[in-house]
Amino acid sequence: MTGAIDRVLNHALLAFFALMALGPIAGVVLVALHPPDAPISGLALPDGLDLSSFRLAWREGGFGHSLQSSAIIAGTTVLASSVLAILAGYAFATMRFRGATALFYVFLFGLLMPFEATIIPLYYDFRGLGLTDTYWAVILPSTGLSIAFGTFWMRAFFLSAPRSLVEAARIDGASSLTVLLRILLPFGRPAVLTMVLLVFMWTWNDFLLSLVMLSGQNILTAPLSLAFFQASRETHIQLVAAGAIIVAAPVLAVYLVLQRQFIRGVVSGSVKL
Amino acid sequence: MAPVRFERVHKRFGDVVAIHELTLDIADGEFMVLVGPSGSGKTTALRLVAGLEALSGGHIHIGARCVDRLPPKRRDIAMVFQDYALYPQMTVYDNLAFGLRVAKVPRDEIRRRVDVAAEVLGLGDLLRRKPRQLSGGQRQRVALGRALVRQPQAFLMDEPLSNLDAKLRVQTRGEIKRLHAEIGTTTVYVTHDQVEAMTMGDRIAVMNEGRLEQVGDPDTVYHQPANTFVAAFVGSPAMALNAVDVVTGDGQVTLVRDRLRLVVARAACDLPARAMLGVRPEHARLWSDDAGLVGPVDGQVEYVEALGRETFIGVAAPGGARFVLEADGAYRIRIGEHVRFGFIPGRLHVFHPDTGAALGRL
Repeated sequence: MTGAIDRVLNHALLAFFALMALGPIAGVVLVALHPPDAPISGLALPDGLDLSSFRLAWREGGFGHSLQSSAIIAGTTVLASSVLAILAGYAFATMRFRGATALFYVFLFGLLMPFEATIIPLYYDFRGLGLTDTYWAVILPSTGLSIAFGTFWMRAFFLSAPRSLVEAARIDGASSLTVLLRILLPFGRPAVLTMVLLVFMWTWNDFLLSLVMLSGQNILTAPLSLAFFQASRETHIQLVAAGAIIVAAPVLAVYLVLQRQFIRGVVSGSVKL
Repeated sequence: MAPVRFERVHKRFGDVVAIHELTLDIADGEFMVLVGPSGSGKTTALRLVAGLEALSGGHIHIGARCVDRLPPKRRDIAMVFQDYALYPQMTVYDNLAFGLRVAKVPRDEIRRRVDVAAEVLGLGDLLRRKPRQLSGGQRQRVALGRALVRQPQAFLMDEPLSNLDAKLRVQTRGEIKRLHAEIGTTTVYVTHDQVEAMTMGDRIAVMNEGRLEQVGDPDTVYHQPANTFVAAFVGSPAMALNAVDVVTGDGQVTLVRDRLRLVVARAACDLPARAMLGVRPEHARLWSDDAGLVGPVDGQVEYVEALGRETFIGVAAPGGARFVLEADGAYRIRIGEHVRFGFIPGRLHVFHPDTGAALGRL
């Protein structure tokens, strides 16, 4: 009897929190489905599937261009930081070398340091190098930022991988690189993909860095263009909602593709592999 | 194939000495079992041979080569791990072929060797499967196969049977012995299970706290243990060890502990005034007047282990001495009952009370 009550209570609680989380998103979607000139107040159901707000937002907001820029930035950042973080994490986890611990703390410091504290000096550094308003101005700091997390993450994965697996491969004659590429990475695909997803998400959603580093004249990232768009069309709430959905869609798509691996990666610490 | 030689091998982990001055010669083609309790250094010794740990002192030779500074891949050894360490994303075939591919063995030769190993180990139908689709016993055979295809100078096996159930363990034990008899590669085999050690080893090296306590063939180690550690470790149930006073008289020796008095023929060796008396269960029998036993001793039954074929009876004797008797499987006795027993002459082991070293048999 208590089991049934328990279950009802649990489900009610879960439903409540799901509603809290999904409600605003549903609101944004519903608003965006209204035609651009319809008056809107509160949570109004649209008359039908009207995508004209999306079309208008896409045209006026220049999202095609900014999505492309964001893709270049996020793609490069993910690629560079993943390769570097995998190699660094592998070294920290499996090799003994002088200063390894101290060096690892440096990486940890990168993880603990609030990013906002570095952004002004970074701006002046990049301006000195003539790199502001280029892709590199966002890619390089993002990569640096992601490597700290990625190294920490990959090191934890490599430490959790069965040691005998690496040893068996070494006895079989494999070099360090072969062990990494042929044994550990295929084995650790969930961990790697989880890192890829997180880094992609953080880089894609970054606002502050691109706001500081990019003037908005040459290169515009998607969140930045959304902010500009919002400023110019403040009263056209359905256009802003449509723009927000356009900007968020790629992250959602990547997440959906990697979802299963992501969940396995996140729980891999607690479950025997 | 090659002999493996430990020469004053020393290994420290920080302040902990894992192996203390180990010298051991393993002959070409020999099946050597390193046996000992947890923390005795047996696995560390094996890993030193494999090159997975670095020596703190001494030398290791495989064949004519000193391998102290060689990386694992250049030592020409193969290892079977306790957890098998099969590459999870590869098929059985790729697992077996991996080492050969890394060594750039021609494709045809790889196929031939894998097929031979699969044939020997009965893996033929499993070559396309992934490790997670295999049972424990099958994984174990793949691990053996991976070592086999390499055709190394020596096999190193680290408790390869400990993850199998009891029945499969006995079966695989036989299989490994058969393989060794067929191909005759030098094998160093680590186990904590003394039954495995006794049944598999050409010779057994008993280790304890980083030291080699005794090395010899199973028969010698069992019947002539070098000290109390080996005596107590090898054999199940364990040898009973009790401190006794030794009174040497005219042509005879009396072992005394409280009301317990055992009169035996005088030994060839000199005995100290106190000693440890060791008796294996099969040498302690229920009393019978005409059996020529040493005794009698009266005691009280503390526990009974009826195994079917034989029954072991734990007995408390005078002065707190404890013995284990072996009786016929049909024999019935209850805890707390009185029992009279004696010992087979010539089978009483005497050890030094302080060093534990064997002094002789009475």
